[in-house]
Amino acid sequence: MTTIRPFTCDDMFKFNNVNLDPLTETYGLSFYLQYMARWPEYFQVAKDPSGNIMGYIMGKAEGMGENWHGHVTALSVAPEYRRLGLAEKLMKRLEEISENKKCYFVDLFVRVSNEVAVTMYKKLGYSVYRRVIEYYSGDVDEDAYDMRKALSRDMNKTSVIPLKDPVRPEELD
Amino acid sequence: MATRSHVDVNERRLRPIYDCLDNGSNKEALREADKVLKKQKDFQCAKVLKCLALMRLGRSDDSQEFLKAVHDQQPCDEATLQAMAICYRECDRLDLLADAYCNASKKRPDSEEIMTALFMAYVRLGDYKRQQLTAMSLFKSKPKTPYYFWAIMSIVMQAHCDPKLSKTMYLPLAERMVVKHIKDGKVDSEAEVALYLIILEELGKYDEALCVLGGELGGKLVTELDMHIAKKLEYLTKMARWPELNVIYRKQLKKDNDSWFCYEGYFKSLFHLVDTGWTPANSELEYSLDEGECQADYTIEAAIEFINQAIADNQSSERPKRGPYLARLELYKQLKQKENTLYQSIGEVGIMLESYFDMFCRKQCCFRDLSQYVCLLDGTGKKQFLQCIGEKAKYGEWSTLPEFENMHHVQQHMTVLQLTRYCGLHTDLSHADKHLLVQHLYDAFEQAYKIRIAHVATDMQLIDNYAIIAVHLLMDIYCDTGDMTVVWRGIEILENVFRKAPTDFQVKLLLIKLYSELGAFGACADMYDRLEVKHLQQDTLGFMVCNDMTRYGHFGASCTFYDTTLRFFNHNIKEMLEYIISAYKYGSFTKVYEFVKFKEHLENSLNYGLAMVSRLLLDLTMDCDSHEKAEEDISAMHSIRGLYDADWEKMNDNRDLDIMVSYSDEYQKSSHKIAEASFKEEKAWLKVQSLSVRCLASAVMMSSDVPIPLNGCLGEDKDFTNEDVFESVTDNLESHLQICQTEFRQLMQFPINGPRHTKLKAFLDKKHGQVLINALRATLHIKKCQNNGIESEKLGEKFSHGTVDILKERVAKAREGLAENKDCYPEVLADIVLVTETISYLAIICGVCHKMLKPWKSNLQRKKKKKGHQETKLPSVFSSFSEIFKSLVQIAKEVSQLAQDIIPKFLHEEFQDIHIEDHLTEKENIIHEIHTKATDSYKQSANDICEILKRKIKYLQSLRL
Repeated sequence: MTTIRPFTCDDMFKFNNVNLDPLTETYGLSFYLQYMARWPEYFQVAKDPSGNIMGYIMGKAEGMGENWHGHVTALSVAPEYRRLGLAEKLMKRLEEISENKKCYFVDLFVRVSNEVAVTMYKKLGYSVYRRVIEYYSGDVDEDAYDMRKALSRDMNKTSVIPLKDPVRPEELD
Repeated sequence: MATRSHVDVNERRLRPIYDCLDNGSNKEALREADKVLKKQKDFQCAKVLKCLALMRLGRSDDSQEFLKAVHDQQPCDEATLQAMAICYRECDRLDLLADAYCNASKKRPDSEEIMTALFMAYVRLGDYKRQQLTAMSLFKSKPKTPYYFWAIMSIVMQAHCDPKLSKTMYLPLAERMVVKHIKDGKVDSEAEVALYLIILEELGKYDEALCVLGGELGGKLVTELDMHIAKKLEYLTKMARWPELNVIYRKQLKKDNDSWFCYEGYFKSLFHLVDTGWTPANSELEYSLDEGECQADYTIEAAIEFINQAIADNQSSERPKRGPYLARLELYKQLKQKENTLYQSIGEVGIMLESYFDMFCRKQCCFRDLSQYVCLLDGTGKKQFLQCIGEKAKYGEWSTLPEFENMHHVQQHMTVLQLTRYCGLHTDLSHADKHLLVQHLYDAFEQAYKIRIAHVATDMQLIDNYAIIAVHLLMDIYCDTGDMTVVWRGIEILENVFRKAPTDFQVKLLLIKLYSELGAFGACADMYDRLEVKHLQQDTLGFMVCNDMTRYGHFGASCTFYDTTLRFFNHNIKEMLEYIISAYKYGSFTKVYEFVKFKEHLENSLNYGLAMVSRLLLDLTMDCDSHEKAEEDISAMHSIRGLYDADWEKMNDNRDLDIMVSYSDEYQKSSHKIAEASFKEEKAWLKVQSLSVRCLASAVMMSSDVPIPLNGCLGEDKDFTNEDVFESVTDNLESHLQICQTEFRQLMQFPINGPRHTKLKAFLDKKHGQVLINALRATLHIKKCQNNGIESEKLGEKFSHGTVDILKERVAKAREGLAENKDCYPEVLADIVLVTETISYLAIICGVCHKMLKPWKSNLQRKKKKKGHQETKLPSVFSSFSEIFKSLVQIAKEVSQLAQDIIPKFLHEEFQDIHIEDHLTEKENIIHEIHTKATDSYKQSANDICEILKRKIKYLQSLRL
């Protein structure tokens, strides 16, 4: 039971129940504001009937030519509201927006250790395009999967043909 | 070519300066700049970069002087202007930044870059009128549509600021400008249509907005998903066109049966239609239906049928949604609230709740969903319902815990437990039964822990709830009895859980609260660090620790905490301007106003105010060990940060008070009232502190004959003496304290998951406010006597009686308290912290008195010598004050001793038997750890208190008459 609407500044005062979860990062204000100023349509929040934040998704559209694509920057659902298909719903919306913008594909990065997420993305039609070495820095650096899903504009699905060799973060375009 | 190569040379010469500035080597940058200026003494850009280096080196006077010289030359090359912009942004002179670009734009009116920068400079200043004018002249010289819309948006912003002229002047003007543009056939981007809609909405022209939406222009709104439908619903609701709304919501629900806001809208429109007796036949309202649309539901029967159909459709789907079932319960609830008996035809509520449990008891949100509707059952109904779902979950009696089969079983079991607590079935248990239940819950935690799937975070979070509810039960007991052993027990449970599951933030939050009860702030700070609170969370979650930090005397930690908080606010409030600019650049016009409001939200945050004032007070409390130092601090305060004076009406409460989970129905009902009461108290306390700073600062300024700024405390049109101003701020403080005295006589009891109280009540009850006022009044009296040369015999006695005597009594009471009641250590600690703070303020006030008395005494002594009246005695005021200084030193020494004495007193019996050398079981290990944490924290408190008092003793001993 959900209401999905554009994320606004005031939502940041109430997103602690999502962000205090250890796998969700809280960024500086500038990060969220930059997305709201530039890609407001890609930043959506889901609320429960009492107005509590259940989760949110932020993304953007970028790239030149056939690399014009939608990108999932962050997707997070509060523990209490997991296993309700909410992440899937938010992802579908992001894909739809990217379709409207005539993107070729949607991509995202995920920790290789985050099996739950990787499995979910695979179920939603995403596949590993390449592995990015030490993409996440921390006490121990961790690799990321760069996962992709082709949209209808990429009729031959060339954007998702996996690369054999892993890349380093600085080689990302 | 010649000019080009000239530019290149300049660029090359500046490069090293830029590099140094980027690397933060400001000294180097200064040297490089001087080198360039030696060769080319009129090189404006190099001069400005030199100013920037100087500013960053802290030489702001020099910097401002050079910068002004360049400014007056009115430079108009972009590199120089950009460098000036950086300088002005860093020193917060946004007015000069705009002025620089304004000068440049006059010289080069055709430069698009300069004009654009000028527009942005006005955005920074929030000068909407000039924004508008600049955007229009920009549009005239470079006819690009975005510039035209910048001008229109600037008009809309003026409308926001001026409600009077908003609808008569600004918005109609903005509308006309858009319409003209449309007529010229020039509107082509989505941003422009969106702005047009904003204007029509502000004007209340929803009909027209609806037309725009449905027309060709509306077709341009494509990027934001559902924007069309959302806007349409918004406008129809504003116009109360319920039949159409009902049809649309109905249609939306057919597409998505899990959308809450559609159900809300559907019911709202339904009840409007029912209440007004609307039918399609008698419809006076416009009621247009698109082809293929069905009719509106205008009877309850139709709505019931609609929902039942939704349920039937849903049941056959592969993954049934919660929506239709919750909608049925919601309809039942609303009908019952309206006393409409048709609710009976929906079904039996107990059965509906049960079947909801059957379907969704494997989901964590099941409790939250059902908690909204169990209130539909009466007392017996609740018990029956709980018994029924209890059987399904093999909940059983508390004497027997079920063998958990798997995590699904745990989830079911948990839902029953949560609902049992929510329905208030725990409240009537005896303390003994509650203790028994706590033990069972802890066993349940241990059992579930064994069968969880280790890497699934949600599993862990689920079973943590056993421990959390166990601790809530313990806190129920604590509220009744004040028995500290249950707090210790609660901490033990949570620390044990924390070792197993260090990620659950609810456990950490609860631990912070429990350690607070113990007065062991060091442990709170440690947990708070583990929460990794950062950025905006400092504003929303800082309340978890900030009241207890100074309550328990962790002064050093407080400084660091407030410094970080202030850095966050100062930096981000400034940065917000950049994002408002971005919103203009990207044409996200809906975000412009939102960002401006958000900036105001930060500026007026309670926490920002608290951090500013607390930091000022901490400066005065902690470091001052002489009157010269106090004078220095106060003059720095005055010139750098200004004395804090908040706009109390505009102040925002950004605290996220709902963050801690609660399973109490009572709490959820009263949470709003608690938030309100707490906010009111916080503001009142902030005002006490803010006025205290002003009083202390005014006293110091008065004694050194520095004019005291008025800050609006008296009228501005007359010449006031320092004494007038000082008296007025003291009056303000006193009358505010009196108001607090009546308003906060009785504080509301906040539950464990609610906010913490401020120090206000203790400050008042333990007479610290009175001491402060007495001292300030006596100081004023001395000043007046000094002015008139009158000797008053009672001056010293009065001061002593109103301050020293009261403090002596406080210290004696604290010592007694410690001896009598072993559980009162947190309170005693808080008490002696207050005494410490009051001594700090008194030291400053004594310094002020000393400063006034000293010359007075010398004067009298001189006179006496001249007249040769060796036998005439000096007035007793001088010797009395010497006595006062000595007494305060004595009190400070006693308090230091008391702070150290608390440590052994707080050892609890059951912890006394544990020694680190022994071979410890896990349980003992945890107990030992908790004990160490608490002891260390008390040691830290004592340490911080003694450090401060040492300085105060030095301060007071330096005052000799």
